[in-house]
Amino acid sequence: MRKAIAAVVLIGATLLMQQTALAGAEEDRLAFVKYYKTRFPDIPFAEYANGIYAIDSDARGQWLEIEEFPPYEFAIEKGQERWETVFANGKTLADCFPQALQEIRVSYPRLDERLGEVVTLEMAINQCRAANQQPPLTYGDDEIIDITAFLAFQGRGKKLDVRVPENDPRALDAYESGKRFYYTKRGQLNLACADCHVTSVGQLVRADRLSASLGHTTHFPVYRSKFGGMISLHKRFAGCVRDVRAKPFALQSTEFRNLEYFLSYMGNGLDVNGPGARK
Amino acid sequence: MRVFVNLMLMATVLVAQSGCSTGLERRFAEVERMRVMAAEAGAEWLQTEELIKQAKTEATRGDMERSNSLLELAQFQAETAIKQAQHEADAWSGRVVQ
Repeated sequence: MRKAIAAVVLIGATLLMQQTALAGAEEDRLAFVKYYKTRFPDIPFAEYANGIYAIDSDARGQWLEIEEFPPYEFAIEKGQERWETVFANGKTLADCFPQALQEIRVSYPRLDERLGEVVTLEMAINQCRAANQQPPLTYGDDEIIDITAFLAFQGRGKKLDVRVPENDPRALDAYESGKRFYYTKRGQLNLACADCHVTSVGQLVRADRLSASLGHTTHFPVYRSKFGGMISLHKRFAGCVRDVRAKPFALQSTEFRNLEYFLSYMGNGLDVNGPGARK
Repeated sequence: MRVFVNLMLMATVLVAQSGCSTGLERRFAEVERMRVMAAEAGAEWLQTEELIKQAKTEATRGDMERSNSLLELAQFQAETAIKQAQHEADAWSGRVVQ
C-alpha cells in the first residue's frame, strides 16, 4: 500500500514539475512579448517578423527598395530544383515530408520523439537524404540553404507554432537549455544574447541598430549584402558568438538547435516570411 | 681532467635541456587542459586555441620569450573563461525577462 502511495505521489510530482516547466515556457513567451511592447509601444506585434526593420525606420526604406528585386530569388529557384531532384531510388525530398508544402517550414524546429532531441528543417533534410542513401549536405553550404529558402518561401504567411510537448521532459530540457544559452554571458566581451537583443535593443553598435529577438527566426535564411550570399540562422548565431569573441559552436550543434527551439517558441504567433534580405 | 670536466658540463647541459623541454611540455599540456575544460563548459574564448598554436610555433622557432608570453595569455583566457562559466551557472537566470 505504501509503495502504491509513493508511486502515485512520484507520478503526481513529475506531472506537476512538467506542467510548471511548460507553464514556464508560455510565461516566458508572454513576458518576452510584453517587454518589447513596453519598449516599443507603437510597433504592432506582427511587425517583429520583419526583424530589425520593425524598429529601424531609416533602414526600413532601403530594405523595402531591395525587396522590389529580391536578391534571394535565385536561391528560391535553385532550392525548388533541388527539392524536386529525383534520387537514384526514384524518390524526392518531398517523399519524406507528409505535410503540405506550405506547412513544412513551420513544422520545425520540433522535438523528434525517436531521437529525443530538437530537429531543425536542415537536419530533417539531411535525415531524408540519409534515408534515401544520399550523402548529407554540408550545413551552411548553398545547396541546403537554397532548399530551406524554397521551403520558407512556400511557408510565407504561416504562423510560427512551436510546441514543447508537455508529456516529454526531453522537450522541456531542450527548451531550458536554449533559454539558458540565450541568457548566458560568454566570450571576451562577456555578453549574453539578451544583453544586446533585450537590454540594448534598438541601440547602435557602430552604424547598426540591435534587433529585437522577438521574430529573430521568422525570416531565415537571409541574403546578406555584406557577404553577397545566403546565410542560415545557425550561421548568424555563429557570427554573433564570434562577435562577442567566444568560440562558435558547429552549425546544427545541440547548442544552436536548442537556441533555435527557444527563440522560435518566443516568436510563436508571428508570420514566417523568409527568405529575407539583410545588410 | 679537462676532458672529464667538459664531459660533466655537457651532461649537465643535456639534463637541464631535457628538464626544460619536459617542463615546457607540461606547461603546454596544462594550458591545453584548461582550454578543453572551458570548451566543455561551452565557454571557450575565440582566440585561446590559436594562441596555444602560436606559442608552440614560437617555441619551435626558439623564441621562448614570445612563446611564454603567448602561452600566458592563453592561460589567462582559459582560466577566465572557466571562471565566467562557473559564475554564469547561476547568474544567467537573473537575466530572464519577467
